[in-house]
Amino acid sequence: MKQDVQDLRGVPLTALFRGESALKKIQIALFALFLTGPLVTLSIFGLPDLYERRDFTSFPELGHVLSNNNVGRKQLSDALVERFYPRKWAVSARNWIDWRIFGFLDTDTVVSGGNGYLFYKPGIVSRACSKKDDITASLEAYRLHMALAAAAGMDLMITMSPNKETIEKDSVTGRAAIYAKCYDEIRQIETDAYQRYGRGMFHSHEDSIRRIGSRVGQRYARYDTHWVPAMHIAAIEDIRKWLGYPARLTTINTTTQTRNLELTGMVAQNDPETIPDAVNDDLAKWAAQLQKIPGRTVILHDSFYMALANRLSPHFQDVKFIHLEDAAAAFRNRPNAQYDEIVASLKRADRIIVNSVERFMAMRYVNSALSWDSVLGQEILRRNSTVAKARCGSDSAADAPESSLTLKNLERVSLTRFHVTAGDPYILIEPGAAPAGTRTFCFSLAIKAPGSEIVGLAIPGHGAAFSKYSVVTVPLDHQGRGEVNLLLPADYMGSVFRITPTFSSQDFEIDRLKTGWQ
Amino acid sequence: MVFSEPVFLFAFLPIALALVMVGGKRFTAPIVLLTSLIFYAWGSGAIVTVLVFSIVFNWAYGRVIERNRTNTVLMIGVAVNVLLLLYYKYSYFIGSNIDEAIGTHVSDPFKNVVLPIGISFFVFQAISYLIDIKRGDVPAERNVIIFGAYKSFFPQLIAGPIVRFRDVGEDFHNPQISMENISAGVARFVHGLLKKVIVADAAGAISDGCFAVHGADVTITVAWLGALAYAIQIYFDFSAYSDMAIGLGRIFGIRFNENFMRPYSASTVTEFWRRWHISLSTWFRDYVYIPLGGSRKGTIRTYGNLAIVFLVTGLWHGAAWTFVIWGLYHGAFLICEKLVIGNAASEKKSHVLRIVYLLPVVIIGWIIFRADSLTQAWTFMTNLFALGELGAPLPEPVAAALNPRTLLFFAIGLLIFVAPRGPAIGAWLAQDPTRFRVLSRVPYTAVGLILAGVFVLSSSFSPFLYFRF
Repeated sequence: MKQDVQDLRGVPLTALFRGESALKKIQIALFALFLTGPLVTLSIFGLPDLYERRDFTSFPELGHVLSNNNVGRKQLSDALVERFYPRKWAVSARNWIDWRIFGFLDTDTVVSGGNGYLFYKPGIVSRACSKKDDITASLEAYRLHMALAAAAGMDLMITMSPNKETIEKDSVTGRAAIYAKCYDEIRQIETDAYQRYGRGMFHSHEDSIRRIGSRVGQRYARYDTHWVPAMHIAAIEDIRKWLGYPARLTTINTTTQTRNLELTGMVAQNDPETIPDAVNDDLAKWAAQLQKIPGRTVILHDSFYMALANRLSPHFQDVKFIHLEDAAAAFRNRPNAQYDEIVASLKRADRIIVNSVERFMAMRYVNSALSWDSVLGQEILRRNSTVAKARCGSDSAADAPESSLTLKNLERVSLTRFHVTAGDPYILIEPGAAPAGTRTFCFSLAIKAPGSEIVGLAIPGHGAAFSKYSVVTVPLDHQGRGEVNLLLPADYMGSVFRITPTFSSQDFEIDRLKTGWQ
Repeated sequence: MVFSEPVFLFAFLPIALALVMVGGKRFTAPIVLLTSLIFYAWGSGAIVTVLVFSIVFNWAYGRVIERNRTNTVLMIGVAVNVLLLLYYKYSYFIGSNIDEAIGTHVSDPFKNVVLPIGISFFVFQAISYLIDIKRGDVPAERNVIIFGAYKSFFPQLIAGPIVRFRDVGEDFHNPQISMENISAGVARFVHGLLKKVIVADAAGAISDGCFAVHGADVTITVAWLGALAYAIQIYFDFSAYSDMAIGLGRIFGIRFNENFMRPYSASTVTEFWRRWHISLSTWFRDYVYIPLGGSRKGTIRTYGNLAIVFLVTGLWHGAAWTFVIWGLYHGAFLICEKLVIGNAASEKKSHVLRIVYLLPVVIIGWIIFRADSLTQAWTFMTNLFALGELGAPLPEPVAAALNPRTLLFFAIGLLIFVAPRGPAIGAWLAQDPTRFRVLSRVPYTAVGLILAGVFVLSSSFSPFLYFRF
């Protein structure tokens, strides 16, 4: 012991490692290896590929790192650690321990159910009871989209890929059941709303999945959130039927695919699953025998149709597939060539098909790929506006009668000029009941609102209350000038709608505010 | 930055150790000071200036006291430290209580005061340093670097133990860095890391799930599970931190005193406090209880002094009424023990007494300590006996926390909690280096690091509980 604590003043402490017991050296070497492991692996293996089905945390800006708040430093730490192999191995090891030893998985993205099924956790968790009101309200956005599209005469078809949790409901047990307590309740709200408002514009692949699934033996993959590739037959049959070109593949031959499915992020890498697939040649021959669906079709889709694209294309005369995420990114980063190309495709399209997985169906109309701030939302507005301009001439729309307007937090200072008196200024319009025989409601607004970039129109449908989701936002030019022309189905119209003319406190002008039934 | 965080384990610690190894003993104190300030600034940003002020002021004022050992001079130094603590930790609490009582707005200026992490620890260290100089127990440190290294030493800076300069001052002048100390320190550190990431975090997940439940959803199962899980979490979390701090100190050649001695093996509350957070209870004994007169001024004064000590012990843990009540609750039992058992309370050994008295008292105390409010504490306490709700389904936050892995790790913690004398593996591994002990350290370190690595790297951030105090 004495030699252990000798005074080595001035001597580098590395000298201590001479002549000590081998066991202590081994133990300390293990500790050193542990501490330096991430850097050592970086120099040997480089950076790992993405894992856990998500992007790496981005590196923070220097100012963020140096700020008082430690959020930037925490982000830097996460960004570094995620890029080291030991973290990937650790996640893999933890998942392996949980799955193989303890028989469960419960990560940010995956949760285990019964019969060996794993489920996409956010798909279940986001359907919590607390989200009920949100879901109900977001369906209003969907309803408004469909109303504007219908009034514009758009051939717009919405298709839905059912959730794995819906189809494989009997397997939503164990840990999955903990998070899925409100799943059925939320689903019922959505289903009721789709049936109430849908008027046949909304289609689910659910029945066909069940039908074909019973023939091929499996409907959804156990470790992946998607249907098995054999379900492409169901999707193709459905789409043909819904577009008026029905066809059924009478003999279904299947083959199998063995894949390392990535739903679990890590575990499935060494745990491949064999799943049923349709025979490619059979599908090609079948498509060749059938009449192609005419016209120019654009299909906005998510991952379910992405894998289907090659097999579905031969059924159309002219079809373009656009992934919703690509469309959203192009819209966000506009102007860019991809955005221009997508907009041009949508303008040219005779028919637009939108496909979404069930869990995102409602919310996509609110806050992401299908909202008014999306290529689809803008195209619906453009087409509706064109039709409104053409059809709502001076005969059908007149200046909105003063008696139908209520001003809130603003006052009219002249015929066209309005003064904002408090925050949240808005105008309520009560169009009254639709006269017999009328089928549409015309609305026309020309506004100049300096300091604002958009004008907001809250148009709750018949029987619905105001909600943030029933708002159409229309962009203004850089001077705050804008024109809105809309045509709405009479059976959609509620008793009141609201204009938020400005999101600043500056005065604004309304040069034209016309309404009328047609 | 916490010890179980990847940035500490894989960046900060290897760099700090490498610098000390390369720099030699002559540069150990400056390297420790510099790295400790970086360690603190990483988590707290510019608030590190509070720590720097505390170092410089107490170093300089220690020398003033040494030249003029009067009570007045000492009181000024202590008052500056207490004011620092009052301002950063208690100003808003005091103000908001005044506001509530008489309808003023005196708390408004303190609403955004940011609590410097570990301020309770470094302020108490400073006070003990000044008092010890006044008492002549320790000379004032001449070298501000040495004093700064002691005051900011990262292993114990933010969650203790409350190390006194008189115990470690010499080590900072001449750190005993040796293979044996490094080997023993590594074993102790790994032991603490394992306790934290295996048992404390599992118990913490269950306790967090239970205490996320409020009102009518709190059933007898939720109340007992939450209370037991928290009792296990707080012990394993805090003692793990102490293990890691002691281990790290040892690696750097600095010996800390033990902070825990199997507290749940105690039979009385008096004995519990001799085994739990020893550096804090001895601090209060030496710097509050004894100066107040201790047990030398009659029975009534003794009980009064105990009540004061436990009131401030509660307050030390946080600026909330739950902590005040928790402190007084423990003080009340301690006084009752003195009344009933007398001075033998600290030596009473009875497994039955432990099971039927000590553990329930401590568990109920932890409910008060953990609850978000006194209302929640009351809900949990009353539901401990609500037998009618025995078969009620578990609320989602609790069910979500109870997976087979956390249940197994929690069960390990529960076994140690219930066992009359739990194993003290960490302390045993770090004792004198017999061949068997040194041999044991190797597989323990290897397996421990692999297991800890898996859970540290694959989990999200999990801070130590005592950071907030």
